Amino acid sequence: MPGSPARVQLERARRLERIRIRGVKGGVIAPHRSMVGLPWTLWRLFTTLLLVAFGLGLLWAALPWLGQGWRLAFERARDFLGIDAPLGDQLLPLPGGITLSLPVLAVNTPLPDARTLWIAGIVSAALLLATFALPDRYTPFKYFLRLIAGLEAIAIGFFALWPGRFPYQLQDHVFILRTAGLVVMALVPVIVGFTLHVFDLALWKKALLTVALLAHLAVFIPLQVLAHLALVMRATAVVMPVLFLLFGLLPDVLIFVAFYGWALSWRGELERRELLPPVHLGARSAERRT
Amino acid sequence: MRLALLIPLYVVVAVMVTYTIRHYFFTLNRLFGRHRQPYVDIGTAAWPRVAVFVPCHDEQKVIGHMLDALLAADYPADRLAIVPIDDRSTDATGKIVDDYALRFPGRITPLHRTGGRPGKAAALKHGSEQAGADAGIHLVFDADYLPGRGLIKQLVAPFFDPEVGAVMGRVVPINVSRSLLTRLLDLERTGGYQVDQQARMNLRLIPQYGGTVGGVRREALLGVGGWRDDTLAEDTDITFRLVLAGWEVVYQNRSECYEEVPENWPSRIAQIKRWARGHNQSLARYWWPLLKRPPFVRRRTVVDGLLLLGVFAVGPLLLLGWALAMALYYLGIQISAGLLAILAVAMYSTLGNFAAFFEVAAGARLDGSRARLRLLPFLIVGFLVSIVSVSTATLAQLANFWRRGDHRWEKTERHRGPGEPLPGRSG
Repeated sequence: MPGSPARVQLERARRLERIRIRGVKGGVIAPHRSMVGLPWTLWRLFTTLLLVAFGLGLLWAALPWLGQGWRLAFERARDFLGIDAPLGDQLLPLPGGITLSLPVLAVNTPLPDARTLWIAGIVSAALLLATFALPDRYTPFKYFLRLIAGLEAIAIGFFALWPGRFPYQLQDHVFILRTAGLVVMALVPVIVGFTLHVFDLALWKKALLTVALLAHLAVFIPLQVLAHLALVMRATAVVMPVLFLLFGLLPDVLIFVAFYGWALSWRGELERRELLPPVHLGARSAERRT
Repeated sequence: MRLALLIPLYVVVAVMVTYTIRHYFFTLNRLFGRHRQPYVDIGTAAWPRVAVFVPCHDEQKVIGHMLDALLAADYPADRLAIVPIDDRSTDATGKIVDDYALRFPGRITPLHRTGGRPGKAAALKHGSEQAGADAGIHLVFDADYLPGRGLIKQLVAPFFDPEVGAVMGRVVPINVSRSLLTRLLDLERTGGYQVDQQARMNLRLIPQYGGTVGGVRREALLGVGGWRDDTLAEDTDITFRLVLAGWEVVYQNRSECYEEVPENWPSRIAQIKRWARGHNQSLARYWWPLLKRPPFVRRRTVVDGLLLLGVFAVGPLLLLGWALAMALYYLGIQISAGLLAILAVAMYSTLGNFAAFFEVAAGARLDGSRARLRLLPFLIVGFLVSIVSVSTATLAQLANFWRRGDHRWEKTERHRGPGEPLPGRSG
């Protein structure tokens, strides 16, 4: 309106903008999904870096408790599983001259005898045959079982041909698995930094996901290691390759993906505040449209 | 022995890391980059004559729906020729298209093929030679697709730009709720179109003409020698011939068309094996002409083109990487010492595999359908089946590379009944 103060005009423009995007029943008329993007601001960058630092700091601060917690788990597991082996400590050097004390069970590596190899062979063959009886809707499961059977067949062949040349001890297996788990935990804050924190979730939700993921892995990894330990002690080293190749890092990654997918199914800030997602065609971002 | 295993493993890891970086780059570009949708606002124009080709072989379950959808299009009827190409169907497809031709004279002109080379590529070649000579634009749809009313105009609009040789729209599954597989394919399509294709469009790389929901300029098609009938992936083939001839291929994210995705695993495996063989044919044909880089092709286009051509070669390469890693494991050879090696392996295992999940997740968030992201970890089952299928198809192809004349219709099974209401519609 001619002669009106600029502030009034601005307010009117904003009101018109709000009306323009309002549907008949009060909903928001959003731009078509083919055109929307995500807002990126310096604040988002700052909070992303902050959350990454928070996650890494949290893990760093929790490391001593992590070592103690895992030691407790190993103690309980030793009694529960009836493992007759002393519990010791293994020092893991970390960057920055710091060492992490991790529990270790001084167990021997049981190598398979001929009878064990026959049993493993029969079980693998049965597993393979069973996959042919499964209906088509279980095709991925079939493939996975065949992969297990195939890898186990290779392991059986190796132990049958070169029984004394398997290069790993059970303790090596445990060490690699646990260290790899720790590395995954250290990567969690960084990966969620540029794959989750870039989205428009509330800050507390982003922080919650980092904490939940780290907590889950902190509980899962020792249990995974102990499960491997128990299996190898009962089924001998013939199952170690399959455990290492298929049930080592893969479950950790899937846990990560599951949490990530769950977090991204949460309502975003744009949706919660009924803001429009931005259209990156030179238009201003939605965060600035408020 | 050590080096013989380590060097190829490093090569495999380098290739995987390259694809990983590409995934992240495309996703971040799609999320935060400037969008290129230069033709989406064209709504009123002097619309040119268009021929819509629908190659079909035993498509009685779906062809009626497709023709109904095309007849309902808001494109000027006198400038739209619908050409179903019935290629020796053994079911009622031929009769159905003839019935439609009788009911809509002048609008539907069916072609019936009883001889010559079978297959979609051959049907298109035959169709474009027999019909559509007066149409400047040739659009192509599969028989199970359901174009919306405004789609033809949206797909034709980019051709007002004289540099555009081909256009591709977005494919959206319509039977999403049928099974876990259809839901996973919906997620994969989301990542592929909403993120991957649009990022290529944004970055002026090579959006792929996908053989459906799109079309080519007739002049460009003739200029590069028409459709080739000796390929299983005429879409990839024409994409690269057009790019090498200096034409632009554009992607229209706004131009959505519904399709029926495979509802069972055998059907999905057959589909992806066909894609792999066709794509690998294109890889063999065009990697060198692309690498030689014609003067009008930018370097980044060459890089993107090579990565696009090699996408189905990644499956067997990944299997090779796993085989090498397993050999190293049994030999007790460590890639390098200490924590750094574990860090590298863990990074690769997490980040490398995670890139595809990030792409899919970004696409689904942009689509505004976030609940389906809870299925994200299940994508691993699709990846497993895909890697095995693509690898076996590629190895079989290598073993039989001299059997060049072996062409037949390799179509995806349809699940919709002819009288059945369309998924997602009430009646």
